[in-house]
Amino acid sequence: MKSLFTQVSDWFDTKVEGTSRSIAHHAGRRSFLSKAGAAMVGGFVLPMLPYDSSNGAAFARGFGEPEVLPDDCDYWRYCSLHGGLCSECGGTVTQCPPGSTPSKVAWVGTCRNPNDDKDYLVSYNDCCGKGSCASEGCSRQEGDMPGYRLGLASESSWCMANTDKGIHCTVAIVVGLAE
Amino acid sequence: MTRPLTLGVWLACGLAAQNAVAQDADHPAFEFETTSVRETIAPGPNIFVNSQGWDSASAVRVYGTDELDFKGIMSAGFQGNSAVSADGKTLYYVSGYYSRLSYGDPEHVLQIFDVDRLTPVAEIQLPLKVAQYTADASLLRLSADEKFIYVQNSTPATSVTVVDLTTKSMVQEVPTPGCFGVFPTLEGHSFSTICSDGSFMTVALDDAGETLGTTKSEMIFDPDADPIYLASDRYQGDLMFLSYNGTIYRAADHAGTVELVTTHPITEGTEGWLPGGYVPITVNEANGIAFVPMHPSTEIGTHHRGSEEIWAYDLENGTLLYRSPADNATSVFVTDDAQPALYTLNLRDDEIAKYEVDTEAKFAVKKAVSHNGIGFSTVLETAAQQ
Repeated sequence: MKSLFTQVSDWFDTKVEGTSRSIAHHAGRRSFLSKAGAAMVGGFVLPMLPYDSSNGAAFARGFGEPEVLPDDCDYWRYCSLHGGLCSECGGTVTQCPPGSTPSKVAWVGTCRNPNDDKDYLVSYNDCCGKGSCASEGCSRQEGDMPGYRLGLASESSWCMANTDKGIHCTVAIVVGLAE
Repeated sequence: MTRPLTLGVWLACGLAAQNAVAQDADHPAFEFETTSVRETIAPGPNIFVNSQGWDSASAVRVYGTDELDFKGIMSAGFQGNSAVSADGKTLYYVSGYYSRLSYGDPEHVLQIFDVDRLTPVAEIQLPLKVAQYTADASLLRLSADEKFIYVQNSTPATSVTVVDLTTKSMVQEVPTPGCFGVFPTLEGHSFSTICSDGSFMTVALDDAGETLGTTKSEMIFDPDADPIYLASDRYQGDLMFLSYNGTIYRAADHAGTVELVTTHPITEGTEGWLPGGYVPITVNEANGIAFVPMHPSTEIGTHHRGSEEIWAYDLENGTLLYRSPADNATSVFVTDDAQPALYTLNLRDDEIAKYEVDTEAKFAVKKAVSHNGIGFSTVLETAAQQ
């Protein structure tokens, strides 16, 4: 049985233009975002997930964040989030709740971290395979674009590439610096 | 075994009551009723509202255009998108059915409904690629002659499935990489789609639905500086789009490619206002007036916010005519006649409303009637010929 990493990598290899990973990490924000609509940007995020056993805390400390992130839509890394917070659904800011599956693709926002005043790329993966969790979600949608720039489109289901289509909640993973 | 006994007691009481009523000279004899089904909806023109289900069944709700009297629904699966025929008699509804609702084997199906009976009469299995996206008219579109229907796909690779409605079968899948939304031409079988670089791709199809060729337009809008919504309307045959910053883009699509005709910055001379909602532009053909829901904001990310005002903009003279108070309109639809009516959806208050339009007072609008219970509805439309 293939690991999640392998499955995601396989999917990534077949579905996503090979250059998007380097685009995401090395190109400027505008350049990256403009290409994100044609290619998919979320795939490169997912290989991180199987190795994140920190409940999000390691990431959080790394960005000058508190040990426990607030379940507050105004919090900086939720700037383009459109959905229910997985941290309110039995998961964490970077982990899907038990029994759900991370979406294979995601949309990306660019959020200003007030702790260092830098812009970060934040990947919003839906967690799939269960009914909706949160009754009240977040809808800040900063930088949200229509489907012609699909990698920035928060109005799409991001369980679209998963077999299990139910959208349970959404995680917010900092994946890079927006140069 | 208490149930039969209880039922028997109820029946006995009922018979006794009937006899008592029948013996009363002041009251007519009671007639027993039976369950039946109303065969058709109430007659008259309709407005269709797609209440899209993301965790439950989607439903197109049917209202009479005069008083918004509710006539019933046509239901489908998850993330449904709908399109109505020009005569208002047939509704096409594409959606997802997942065997265990939130997980299990998924399928995408195009269903065809008889509107009068609110009943599905045919269905077509589609590739498991249909866009799972907030409802928009551009995600399911009929060709002008209604021979074909075009289905937006997103896996996330984007493409358009072409379905022949005469044979009720899929013709082909047209790859439209980096582009989204379907905008069929008013003649023939071509369609255009908005691309990530601000251009449009136009796909020419023959009478069998096969591709004759594709063209790419010049850059119509700057997606970084001034992205346009998917929502659009037609005016004098041209496509009318609206940008996040409040500029109307008028584009022609009748010459084999999309060409920019003109732009109208409707916020010019104002400060601190932006359009918002899911269908934030609608155009009255007879008078050349665009109606746009607006809210006070200078921030990014408020482009789906409900209105505080609806602005009436004169497309012929390029002037903002009037700003009417309008609480939280998130989608707008105006009829094309000389004395139009404006309909709105209000997601916050779960409401559809009809506004009177005063053509003698700079197209000011005023709410006349409303109806609650629309669910997550972003698209409303009437049949073109009803």
